[in-house]
Amino acid sequence: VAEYVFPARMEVIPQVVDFVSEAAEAAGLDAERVMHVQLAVEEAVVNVAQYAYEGPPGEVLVRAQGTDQRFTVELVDTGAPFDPLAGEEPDLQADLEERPIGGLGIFLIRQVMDEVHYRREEGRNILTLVLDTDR
Amino acid sequence: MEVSKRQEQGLTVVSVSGRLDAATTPDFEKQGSAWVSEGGGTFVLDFTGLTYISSAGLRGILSLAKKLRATEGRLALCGLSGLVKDVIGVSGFEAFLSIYDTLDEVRQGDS
Repeated sequence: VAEYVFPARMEVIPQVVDFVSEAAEAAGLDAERVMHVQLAVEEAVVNVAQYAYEGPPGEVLVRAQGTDQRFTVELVDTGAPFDPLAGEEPDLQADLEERPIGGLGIFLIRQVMDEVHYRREEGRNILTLVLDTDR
Repeated sequence: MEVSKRQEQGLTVVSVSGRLDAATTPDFEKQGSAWVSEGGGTFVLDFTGLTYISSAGLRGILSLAKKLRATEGRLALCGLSGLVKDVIGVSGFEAFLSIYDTLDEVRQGDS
């Protein structure tokens, strides 16, 4: 298990991405799936940085773990309760005029991950991203 | 992210390589605003050298497309591959901008 606590700020996203990429490569994921992990983790951290904390930024704990069958990344923050999976699906047919700027992050996480779970536990938001590695 | 811009036959071709993500897109958007204020017109983003894009990068493309449309210009993309092709594909961006395989196809489609 690789674990690291980052400040929940947009500026640290490249470091978080490097951190999970190393873990994903160590778990034997191929280049395409490593990119998928990078994308999902970037989107998840953007969410925490934008929505979890008011005032001074808090922290986000990132925990990566590979087993024979699965590669899992957990993101844990102690910010306001926020289920990123509860939002509405974006309208992908919308023309330019109707397109909101944003709203595709969670959609992309769902596209590239095999499983995504959210739970609120003891004052913490926990988002779990899972890839099956045995296929 | 590396960005280079050149003019050719009524097109503005912007080659973007590397990563268009939360860290680099603000700079891309800033440059995009400057290009549009310099005149707009038909822009092509050549993504041949682009290896990674996230929703932040999509937002950058969308914001450039909106600015160009406001000036009667338009935006096309070419050279998509791998993750970039997948992400732009699933996001339905072809509903409001033209996507070509190569820059040559853009030139032919535009003449």
